[in-house]
Amino acid sequence: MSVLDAIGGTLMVAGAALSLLAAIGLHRFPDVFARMHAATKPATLGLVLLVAGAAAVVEQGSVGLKLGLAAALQFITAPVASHMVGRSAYRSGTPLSPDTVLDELAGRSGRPDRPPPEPPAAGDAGIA
Amino acid sequence: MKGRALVVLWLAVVWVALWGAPSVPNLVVGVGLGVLLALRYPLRGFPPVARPRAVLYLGVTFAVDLVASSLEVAREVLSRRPRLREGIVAVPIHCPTRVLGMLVANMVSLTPGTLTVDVADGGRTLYIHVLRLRDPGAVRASVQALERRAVAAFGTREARQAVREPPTRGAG
Repeated sequence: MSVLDAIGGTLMVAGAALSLLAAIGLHRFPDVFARMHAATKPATLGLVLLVAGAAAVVEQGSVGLKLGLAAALQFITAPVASHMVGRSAYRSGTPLSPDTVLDELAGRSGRPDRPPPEPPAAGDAGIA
Repeated sequence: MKGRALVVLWLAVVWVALWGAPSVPNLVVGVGLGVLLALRYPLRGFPPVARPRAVLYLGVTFAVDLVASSLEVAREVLSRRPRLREGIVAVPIHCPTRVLGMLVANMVSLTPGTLTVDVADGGRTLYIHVLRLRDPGAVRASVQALERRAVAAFGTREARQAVREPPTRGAG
């Protein structure tokens, strides 16, 4: 095992761990907006580490080019995706979590005044 | 014109990278497609200037921010009971071009604790969701500092003067 293999392996494990944390954050955080934080930052850094690790292990240069492209596209698309999800969630009236202490966007975005309809009580639907 | 050439170059690089093998036919097709797309969808205000040292500074601070923000989210995820104080803060920005405004809005989403949720006033106000809100003024100050770094890297001289002016709205 060469030094490059060791570096690559370490980077890939770190990247995978960050991606796992991002996924757990999606599950644990209280509302859409907090979840978007988890889906954006650690997921991006996790992918960059994975890509860097793979580039250290793989020897063909053309694969490195593809990996670099994957990382670049992640940087361009991840913030846009989280912005779009957050914005549409806000505008469609998705409730903010009770941990929210300030909302300077209130009343400025076409968000409906009335709260969204209550979700069906547990047990009504087959999936609860 | 220089901006358009950069767009063509970037699209050609993407094309060749997707094929995975740099060859003359790939390069020719990539440049051809790049020219077509750049003519069909012109980007106004695409980096007219780039100051290498300022770009480097922006890149390094951004890399540090990305690591810090990932670790911050990771710590919240792992804490037994996440203690969040969420909030949405309005931040006035002064970026004169849409490309620069977009760059700032996207970088905000990858820096610690902040996420762009909405853009209003034709790109003059960012609404930023904060994971652990202590002081809205501090959030505005840090986003505007990021804006100054971005404009120092890619903005025109007028743009740099615009961001140096004291904020006229919503500060404090």
